[in-house]
Amino acid sequence: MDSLFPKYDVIVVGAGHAGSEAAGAAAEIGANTLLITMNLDAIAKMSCNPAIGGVAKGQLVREIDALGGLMGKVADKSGVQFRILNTSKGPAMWSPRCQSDRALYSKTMREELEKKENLHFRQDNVVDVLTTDDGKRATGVKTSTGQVFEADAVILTTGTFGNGLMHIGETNFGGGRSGERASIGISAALEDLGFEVGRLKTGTPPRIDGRSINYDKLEIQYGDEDPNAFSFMTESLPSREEQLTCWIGNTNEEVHDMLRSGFDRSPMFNGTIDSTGPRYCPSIEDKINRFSDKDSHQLFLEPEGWNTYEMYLNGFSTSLPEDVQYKALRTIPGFEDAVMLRPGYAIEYDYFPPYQIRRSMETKITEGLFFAGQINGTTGYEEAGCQGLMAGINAARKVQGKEEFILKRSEAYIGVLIDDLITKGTEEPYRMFTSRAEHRILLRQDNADLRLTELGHKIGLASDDRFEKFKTKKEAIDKIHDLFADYTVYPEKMDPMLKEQDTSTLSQPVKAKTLIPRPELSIFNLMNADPELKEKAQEITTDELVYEQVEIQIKYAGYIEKEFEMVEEMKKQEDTLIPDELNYDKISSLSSEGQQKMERIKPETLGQASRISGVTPSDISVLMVYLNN
Amino acid sequence: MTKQEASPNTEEQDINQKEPITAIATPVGEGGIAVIRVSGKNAIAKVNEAFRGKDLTKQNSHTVHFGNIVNKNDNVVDEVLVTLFHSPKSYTGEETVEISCHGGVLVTQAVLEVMLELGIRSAEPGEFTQRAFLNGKMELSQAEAVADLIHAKSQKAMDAAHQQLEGQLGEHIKQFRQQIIDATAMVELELDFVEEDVEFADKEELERLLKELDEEIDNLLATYETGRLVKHGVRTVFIGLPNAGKSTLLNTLVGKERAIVTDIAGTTRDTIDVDWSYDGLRFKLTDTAGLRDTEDVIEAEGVKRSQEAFEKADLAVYLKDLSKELTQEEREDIAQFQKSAGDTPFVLIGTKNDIALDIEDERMDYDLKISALEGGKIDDLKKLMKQRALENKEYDSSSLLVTSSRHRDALQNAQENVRSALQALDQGMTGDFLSIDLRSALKDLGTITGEITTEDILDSIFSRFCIGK
Repeated sequence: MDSLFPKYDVIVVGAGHAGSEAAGAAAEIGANTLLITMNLDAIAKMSCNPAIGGVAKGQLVREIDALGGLMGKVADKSGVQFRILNTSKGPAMWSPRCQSDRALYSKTMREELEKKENLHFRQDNVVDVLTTDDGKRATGVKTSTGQVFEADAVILTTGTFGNGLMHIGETNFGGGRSGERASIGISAALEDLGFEVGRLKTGTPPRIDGRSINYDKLEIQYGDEDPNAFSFMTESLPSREEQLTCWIGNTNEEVHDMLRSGFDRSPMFNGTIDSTGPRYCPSIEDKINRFSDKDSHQLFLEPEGWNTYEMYLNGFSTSLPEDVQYKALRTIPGFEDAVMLRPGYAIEYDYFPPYQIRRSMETKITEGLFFAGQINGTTGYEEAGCQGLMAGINAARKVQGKEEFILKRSEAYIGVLIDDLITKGTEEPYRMFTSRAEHRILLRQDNADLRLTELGHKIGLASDDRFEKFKTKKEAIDKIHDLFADYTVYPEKMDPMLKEQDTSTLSQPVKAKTLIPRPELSIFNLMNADPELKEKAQEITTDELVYEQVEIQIKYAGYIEKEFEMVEEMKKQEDTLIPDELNYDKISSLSSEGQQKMERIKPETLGQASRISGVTPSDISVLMVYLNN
Repeated sequence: MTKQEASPNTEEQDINQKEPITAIATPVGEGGIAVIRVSGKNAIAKVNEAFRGKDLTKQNSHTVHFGNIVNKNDNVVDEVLVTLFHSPKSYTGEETVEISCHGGVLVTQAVLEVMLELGIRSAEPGEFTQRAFLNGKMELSQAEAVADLIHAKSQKAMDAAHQQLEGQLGEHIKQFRQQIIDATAMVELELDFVEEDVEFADKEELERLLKELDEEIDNLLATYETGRLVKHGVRTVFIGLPNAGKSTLLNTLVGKERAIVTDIAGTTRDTIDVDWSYDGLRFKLTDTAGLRDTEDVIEAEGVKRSQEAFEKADLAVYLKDLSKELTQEEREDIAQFQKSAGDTPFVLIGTKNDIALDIEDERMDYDLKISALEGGKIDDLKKLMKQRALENKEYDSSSLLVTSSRHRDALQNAQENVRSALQALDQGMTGDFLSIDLRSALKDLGTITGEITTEDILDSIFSRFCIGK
């Protein structure tokens, strides 16, 4: 087919959180990239809550940033409140989260993308993926007006727009997001290519006019005194005083009764929606229904931005009829006069069960076609962003004839996420949890740069500036570590401090490092107790993050080493590749379930095979022996 | 694969036949005949090269043929019966020949050497079973249990092996696993859902759960000792002065001449091991050289081995010749043995009661007085041995026993991790660290029952707590 347009290396379809990262990454590492979106004014739009990060998600953002992606930087520039969650736990649990200015986030992302030299934009509605006649190779896309764009690689990030169907009570209508139309056509095109399509559901709460709330009845929630950035490159953030606040409220039985009165008209309960929603992000009606013994549920009222009164009612996701939403809303203490700006809704959308993609995010059926984001059954901006990043990297590398860029489960949450998706599939929208990462203690937000920046730089994504900054930090960490390992501290200097911190005093001089594991002590206690030590340390660096890193490494060394040993144990399995063409039918001693599952999923490594549900340890032994022969 | 000329009746099948391997399939030196197994590609044609009789390559599967095995000089090594198995209807699934030859060590070895001369490789330990397993003839867990069944020489061990096959241990361990999953869910809830208004793990409940688990693993582990005895037999050592009747008693128990019995003290110069089962319990009887200082070098070596056997024993039987006077020296010896036996059951038996001296030494407290030659009270002795061997051990034919050291190790590791979690809890460590121990425990149990997934933990969370703001 003739095209009016030049041929691109990579085309990214969709400019949500996956699409933005994909386009940014592909362009940054040198692929001539076209980003096609249905609405150029809605780039990286936050469809749901105006927040980035949180437990496990914050870690993902740090990893995206460490590799050279955009989400962290954009979140820092558009955040209205910053908090680190879980600080009472160990460092692996510390999780950054921010409230964002929804409009500013979108605007900032567009600005960042427009800075990319090789990136081109187009507003259009893609309805078809073009392939070679046999469907085995992607060649481009076609839009609803019949325009053809050619490329060597195509990344689909259709989010909730693929045959999106929105529900409010008994009303339903096509749409991808409040006020935006759905994208029809792509799913059918992919089904024609042989892809299996599924249906998922998610939902969002009503938006409120902040001026109509009685804040006296709510509890205030401030941001952190000393806010922490997502990006390793961000230098400053708004102070606590400058940051906006959130508010906490609660439902009661009266609210629940009001909601219950509309259950017969709820698409969730009357059978209109039969697709699966996330268990960890249920609608308010679902919560009341499943946990009827709970007489109150917590709600968070979150600002939508610096310059708007619109507020987001986190925890009140609903698809009940609008009149029920409205009445129930006004029953919540503090919300008696609430003005609802937009009703909550549920949305059903197409996804492609992710066993159909490889570790590189490329589809197994069609070479050069990549999927990223909600199309793979995930939920969340961060989950989408990191997939987009990996798809963008791998699409560009494929076009450039370079090998796949894969992150292991032991290297990054990103690796965990992708491995989970392609190995276990997902029946409900997949969200990241720290408990999904077996090597959680290694995958901390504080060391994301140490884990990933060098890799990001090597593939041409992380900038030279970032790499230099990382190297400086890494050298300082090593030096400070050595200093504390070599430096001897004496009882006369330490004991007063030790007594004050309520820990045992010294009977003889020891190396400074040996005191750090004590739970009562921080590295700064030692430095303050010994001015000479402090002086020597500060000659090396004054960067607090360096000290934090050294302290974590020493304090939790036992756990960290144990974890590294486990990684090492699994290494052989993780590194043993299984050839694509392996015929599982030929290996008669596999369990029949194991055989079927592996035939379908086609695991790329023995480690991946071992994580497929239904594949037994003896199946793995069989494969191991088989592959060795 | 193509049909082989050598196996005209073989059906088309998918078994991937590997190079032939061979090994002696029966225990060395035991039994009237020995079996040498050859398995692999063209096994029948290979064996046929050294077989003088019918052309084996023209015979049907599951047929037995008489003939001679000859060496490369065409000298007859042994008269044999060969049984042919065409693939896939054999133990390994491969083409297999089983050669039954005369049972002596030398003959068996000679036949095996002929096979090796033919270029058939000597099998690694367990390689036949491994091939059987690879060819879909059995599951890994089955393979383990089959190995146990093969080695099960008594009824009790058969029971234990059957129980494992049916997965009773697996069921039990699954229960532990669920308990740990629930505990982990309690811990994880607090980590991943900090922003939710759920009630977090109650430290006391967690502690109670972990302590219970610790105890239950303990109970299961306690059966290992019994399980080991049931599976491997009770290592029983007979000690006593030379010519106290140790060999005689052993022969009486076993019912055949195993040890050389003479009246000359010191005839048994080495330890002799014999398998013997009584009332479902297997014993490994060790006859020892008499215990006394000796100038004889060979005998001294025997005495040393006796000492070693005593130290490893599960049951020690001291025999005192009642026809001889008890010397001060022997009295001290007995006291010394009794003391060093420690927790190992120690039985003091008076022998040759039929010709006992008419002096009653009241300071000696015999468990039983017997006369091997006249068969008196032998049944009482057997009962006594079983009773003492199992005393203080949980033993009930219906109870679950841990018999495999691999399972024991896994349980021990899991227990260690549970204890480590308890300790961490006590020290006020946060959930992320507790979780490391709990997940390690799950991993340990997973080595018995299969891997545990995060989904299990999340399922436990979602089913019990209201998540989602």
